[in-house]
Amino acid sequence: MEREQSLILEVNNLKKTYRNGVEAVKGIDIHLDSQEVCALLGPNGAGKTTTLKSILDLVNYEGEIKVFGKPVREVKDRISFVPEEKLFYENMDVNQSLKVLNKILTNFDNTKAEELIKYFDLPRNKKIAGFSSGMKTSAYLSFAFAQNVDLYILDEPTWGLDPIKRDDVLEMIRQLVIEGKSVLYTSHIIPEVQKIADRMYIMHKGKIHYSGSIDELKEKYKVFYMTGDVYDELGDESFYTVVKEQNKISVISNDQNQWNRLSKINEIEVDNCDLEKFFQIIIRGGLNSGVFSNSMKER
Amino acid sequence: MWFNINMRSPVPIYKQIKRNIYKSLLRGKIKDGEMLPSIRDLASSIRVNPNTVARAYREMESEDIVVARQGLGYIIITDRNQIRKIILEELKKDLFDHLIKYQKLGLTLDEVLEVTKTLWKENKV
Repeated sequence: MEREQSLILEVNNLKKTYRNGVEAVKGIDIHLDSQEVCALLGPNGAGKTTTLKSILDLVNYEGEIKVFGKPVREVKDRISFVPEEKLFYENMDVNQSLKVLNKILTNFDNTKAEELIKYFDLPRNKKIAGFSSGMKTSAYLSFAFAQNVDLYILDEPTWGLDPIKRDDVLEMIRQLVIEGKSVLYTSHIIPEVQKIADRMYIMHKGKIHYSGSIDELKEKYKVFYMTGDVYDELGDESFYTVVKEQNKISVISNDQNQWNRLSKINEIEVDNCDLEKFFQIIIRGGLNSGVFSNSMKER
Repeated sequence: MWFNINMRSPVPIYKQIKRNIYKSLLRGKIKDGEMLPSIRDLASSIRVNPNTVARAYREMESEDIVVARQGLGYIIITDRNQIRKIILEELKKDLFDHLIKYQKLGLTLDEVLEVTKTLWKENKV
């Protein structure tokens, strides 16, 4: 109808092994539709930054990556990037950086940059190297959001920001998609993903353990809590994920018939699924997403 | 059009959007033959992503509550009775977990109905 759906980013079987032998990314698929906010969520060391660097062609990798249906080097002027390591503007101050950006970029909106710098209350004549981490993030966001592009790739875009600014930045990201742009960002903070991501990929140790929307999570999954004894009595039931924590077993189920069966057992407590619980159980379980059968409980 | 969206609610965002539109329909704030706000306008007003609003509208289209008109937007084509049916279906799902919980505690259907009736009368709007 009034919206055109098209594939902005397609990553197929991406693998990256660094020279020291570290397998940072172990064969992942990602896709991003237009006007979508997509989050890579995972603990530190999950492989999120390496994934972004591969997409931007900043490191060598195995696998296939297409942005707007083309190799990224052909469409770099349609992408704006906030890196995790903020070294690029180190030796400049804000004024000098703006001068450079205006010179090298045709899509740079200086008025917008000025508005953002004012909003973030950034000093104009202090070297960016001397900024706090929150100020550096603010500076990079100001420069990135002032570029009029179709895809914004942001590595930890709220790093070091206070809670009010963090919320405002999330709203700025939302405004981008309302205006027709697309956003891919990384985060390790659950509420940030909960608030604005259309689609998220939960990454852990180089693999994707879940992909989908927050709404799907709420609808398709339930969490059940029980003791080890009750769990043992369930016999042949197999679950989406199981994790044992001290004296409690947490189970995620995506099978509605199973929900009905488990709900009726007195000793089992049922809860709605949200990202916080789902993420904790998936990461602590340390398992591949998918069916984890009861027979594995001796592990 | 504006309504509040609770990001932390266990109810999916697209469903919250649908429910609020149903509410507007039941209260006569929007009527058969009128247009829903554009996806972009509603997204901007309630601060959710346009994709989520689009999903809510698409679902309402498949439920024959609205119809999409090329270049115009979504037009409402339903009456209150249709909406009531949908809401009753949702009520069923909402009540399931609660009823099971009290069943497990050993309450009887009569007891639960009695409480429901009393609460209903006390809080009649």
